[in-house]
Amino acid sequence: MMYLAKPSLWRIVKAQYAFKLKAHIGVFASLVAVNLLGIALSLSFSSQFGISMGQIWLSMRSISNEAVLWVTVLWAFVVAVLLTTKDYSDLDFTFVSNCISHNLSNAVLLITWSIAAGTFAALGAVLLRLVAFFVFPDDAIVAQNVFLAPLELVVGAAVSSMYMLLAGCIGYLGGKLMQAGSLLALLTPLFALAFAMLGGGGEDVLRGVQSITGFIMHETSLLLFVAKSLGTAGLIFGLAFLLSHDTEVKRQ
Amino acid sequence: MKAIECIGLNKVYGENVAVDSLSLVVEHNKMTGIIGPNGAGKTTLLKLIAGFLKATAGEMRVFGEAPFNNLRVSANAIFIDDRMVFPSSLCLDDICRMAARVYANWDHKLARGLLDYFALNPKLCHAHLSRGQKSTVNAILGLAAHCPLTIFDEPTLGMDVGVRRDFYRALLKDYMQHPRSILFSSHMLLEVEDILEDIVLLKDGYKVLHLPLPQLTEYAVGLAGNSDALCALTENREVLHTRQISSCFSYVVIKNDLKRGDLQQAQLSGVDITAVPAADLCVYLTEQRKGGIDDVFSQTKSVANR
Repeated sequence: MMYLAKPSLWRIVKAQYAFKLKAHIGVFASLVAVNLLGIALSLSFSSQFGISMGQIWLSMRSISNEAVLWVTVLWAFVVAVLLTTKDYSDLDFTFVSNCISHNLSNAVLLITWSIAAGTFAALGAVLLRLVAFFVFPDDAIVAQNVFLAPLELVVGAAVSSMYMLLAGCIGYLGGKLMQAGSLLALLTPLFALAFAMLGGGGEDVLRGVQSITGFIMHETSLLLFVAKSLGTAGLIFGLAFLLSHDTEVKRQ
Repeated sequence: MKAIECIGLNKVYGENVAVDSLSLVVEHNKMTGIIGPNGAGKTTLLKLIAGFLKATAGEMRVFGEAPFNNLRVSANAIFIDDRMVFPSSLCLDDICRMAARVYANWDHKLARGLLDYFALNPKLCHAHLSRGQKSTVNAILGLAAHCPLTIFDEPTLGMDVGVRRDFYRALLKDYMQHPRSILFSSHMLLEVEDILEDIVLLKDGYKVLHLPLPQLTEYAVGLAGNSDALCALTENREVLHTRQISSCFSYVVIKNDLKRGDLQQAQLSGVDITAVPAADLCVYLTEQRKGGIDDVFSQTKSVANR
């Protein structure tokens, strides 16, 4: 008689992670495309103003790499939502899986994609400087923050990765809610927020939202920032995990 | 050892009862056919066994454990159907490698041998194959996984006749070398009756019967002869199927419980007694249509003549 296999959860999670990383290799191509788009946006939305002082006409152009960061954050959100769609999630259940291994391997996948996206966003900032130098060859570089020290680049990548992870976890939670058919559950907090704002409590709500985002975004210590981001991402992912723990696999 | 045991199993989708108070015991190391017409609940039952779906009511055990969301059951079972989707970035070799990592009994030599036999290059992408080729690859995965519980849900959809025949032969050979529990759903019993040991016949989500195949072939008899003689013979008996052959000649299928006296009566009134092929019997036991397809045409004709 054939013996019954006793699977190890970690072995299955590792196998699913490696399988999905290869299966969804295309996300990296979209990441590069999104970064290039961010650079193009940064250059086209560079703010320019001029001052005239007698015979001298001084024109200043200020370029910010925020657009690169925000489009990449959007990318992280979208790929996380995609990860929860039927075709993507059915892939695990083609072979050996349960909800725990499925969600754990997705968590590791999101972390990997976030680190890649954070690194790309940081490198995008370097590329933006380089491209700006060639696009505007006649301009003199006068501002600070043009030259990035390697350590700054690493810190930038780490901070960006945390933003990507947070966006990814929010996308994952939203996707899981939609998959569970709880569009209502997804819209309720948004409606509640809108009603509170319409009801005259606009400033209070805004202050509340600011204090939540400020809790992470205004943190000056890198270690605390990473800890706070990981904690929040973990909480959001945990919620998605609890919501989807009992879901059926349709495969239809 | 019991591979599958379910008691009073129910699965309801909204208003639709897909599986209705189903109780079933499948012994380990048996090749069982799950047979029934479209909408009989075959796929739902198989998905409940594989642990994809959660029963609305009742109890289900696979190798002694509740299968839903169970990693141990999942590691010992494989579910093959024509809806298996793999991203276009994966070639057949990648898919086989993944299966090898998660299935303890994976037979890589067999997988490569079968891919080679069916002229499927391991570097080909699953998403780019034709429907029949996809079914063939899926079936190969099901065979090579050597899972203690192997579930094939209509695995031959889209396959050529030749490929289907080869697949049945491969399944039988592999089963003989590596006995295991195999569930095979099909709505065409005729094709698969040579390889099946037991039959579970479903209709509208409930179990009509669960019998070894030899018993199924002896379950009913067909009587052909004069309609009046047949009427007398089948009085107070459950008629499973009836067909008017000509104005005074009919064919009737009844349960095989004729006594010696009945046989003599049949012989005297010129009624022919024949065996009923298992595939035909399954159709008779699950048919929902009234009369035969010929009735539709005769009714249309009589309306036109009026």
